[in-house]
Amino acid sequence: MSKQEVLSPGRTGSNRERTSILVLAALIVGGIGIYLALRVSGSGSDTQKDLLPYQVLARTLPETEQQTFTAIRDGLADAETERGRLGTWPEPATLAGKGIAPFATRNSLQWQRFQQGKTVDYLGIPSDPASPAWLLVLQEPEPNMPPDPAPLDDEHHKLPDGTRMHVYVWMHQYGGRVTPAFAAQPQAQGWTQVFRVPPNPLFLPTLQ
Amino acid sequence: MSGSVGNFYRPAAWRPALAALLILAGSRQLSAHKVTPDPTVDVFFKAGGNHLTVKVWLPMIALGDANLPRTPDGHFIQEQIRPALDIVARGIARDLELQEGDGPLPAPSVATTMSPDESFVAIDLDYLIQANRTDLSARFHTFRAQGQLVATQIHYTSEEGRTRNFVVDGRPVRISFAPSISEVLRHFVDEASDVLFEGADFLLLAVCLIAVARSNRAMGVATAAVLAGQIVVVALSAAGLLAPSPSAMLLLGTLAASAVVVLAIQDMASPQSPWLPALCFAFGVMSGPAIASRLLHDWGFAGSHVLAALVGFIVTVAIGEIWVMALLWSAAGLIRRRGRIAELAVLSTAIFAGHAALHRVIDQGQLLADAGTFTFERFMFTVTVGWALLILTAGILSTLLSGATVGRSPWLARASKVETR
Repeated sequence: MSKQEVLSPGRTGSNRERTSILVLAALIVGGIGIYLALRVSGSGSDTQKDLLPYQVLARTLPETEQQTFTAIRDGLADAETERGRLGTWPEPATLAGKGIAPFATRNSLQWQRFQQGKTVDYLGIPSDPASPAWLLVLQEPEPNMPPDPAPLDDEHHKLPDGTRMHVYVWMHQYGGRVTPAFAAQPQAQGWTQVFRVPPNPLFLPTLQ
Repeated sequence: MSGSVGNFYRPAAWRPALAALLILAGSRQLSAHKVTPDPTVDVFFKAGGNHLTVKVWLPMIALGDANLPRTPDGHFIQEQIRPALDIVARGIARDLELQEGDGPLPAPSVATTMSPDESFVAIDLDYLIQANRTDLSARFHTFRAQGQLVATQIHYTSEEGRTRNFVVDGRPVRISFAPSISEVLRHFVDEASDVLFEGADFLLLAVCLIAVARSNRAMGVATAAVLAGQIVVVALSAAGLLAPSPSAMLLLGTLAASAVVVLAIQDMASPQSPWLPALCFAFGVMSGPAIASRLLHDWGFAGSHVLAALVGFIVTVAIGEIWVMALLWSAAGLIRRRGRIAELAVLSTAIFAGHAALHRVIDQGQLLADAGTFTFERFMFTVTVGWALLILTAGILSTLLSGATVGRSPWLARASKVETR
């Protein structure tokens, strides 16, 4: 009976493999680290690529416009509470009377309310025509519409009565050139949609 | 594993045939479409004494958002257009947010002039500034015309008469006309990292390079050849010695992709080819102009720190490409150690990379055809015949030189020297 000797690869082989794996892991971790560092610093990425030509991120706007956008978004929760209490979207003067931003605090904007079907527009026209105008669009579902499956976020809100609605904030660079009226398709009238973060592409609703 | 490598490198007749079949599979019929020049907004800055003059040339098409007053037949209403343009001009001045250091400049005087054919409006802004201040900055953004973005081109002329040009065609940016060296480095490192993230051709080439178990030396030389080609072209472009036209850029991009196709076929037919460094260098030269165009697109951002911008950009691209190559090479080596099937799996990545590269050749060839440079069929015919002649010439040269170099081909992967990680 012959005897067969089996030799293990030895310490050198296992060391080499271990080194290879460590090098590969270091390359991967290093690469991901550099990638994340670049992304987190906000540089190296063209955020406009994620948006349509009529959309913009609030953080790329001038400081004063960013403040107005923040005021509109901050005041929205209170406005929704009023909507739940009254059963309808109140006039801007009512909201201003309650001290709700931006209707109460942005004195340079004259707010008006327009409605078409279940969609309500709050239009803020600036006193300086060279300043931007703002438009807050609140779109509730028409009767018999199926429920919106999108998760709640900046664009999708739930009213106190459980109604799911869409919220859009728009800005017009040339506020003095805006005609006060209901804007069915704001993007076709020179408006730019403003986002805090890029919209979720899976849940892009269409304006009616 | 190393014992099987010698046999593995003996090209079998089915391998080039299979590679060619898979690479060519799925090629599609093409159609032409019309290409028209894009409108741009031009902004000219000139500092002199305690004045900064800004002239904005706006195509009327970029003012669709302003809802300018028009008659039913589409002409502007003369008595209403001036105040409307005044609002636009002041809105643009407001958006520019011109600053001296961190302090905003006072509102400028504004004048507007519409071209007689109503196609353009010139906006003149005159700012009062402190004399000899160079730390001016302004915010720029794109415009919108018929649902498309309109790029803004900025031309800044300093008091010394030097002009720097910038293009803003993405997100709004604040441009400093006298940036610090750290700002310059950060900007160009960012740009170079974008080049890496978007460089599909290089990634495909890297996949083809690691698909075969080449020696460490061969991989090192191939990577160095790619980088050398790219660095030469980027440096020449930055020095202003190389300025290919848009058509030439497209052509070179197409040729770079075609080099990847050739490398994919070479992986199957002749992985030990001594022409690998030459092919990689050619790829570097042909892919270099696209990289250089990214650098030159933002060249104005370098200010007076052009060397820092160039070095920061090139070093970042080089480190990134070496990292990609090392990562893929290391991963492929680990997979190959699992046996013959794993080796074949790694090799097959070259087929997919070659197939993707062929699609890029076709797509870019179609763009060339659209631009009217060539007909698509003529272009593809020329590229194919060109590569065939090159490969034939390489084969003849190899045959003629084989007597002198027999037995010492430096690129041949010897079983004992093959990368086995």
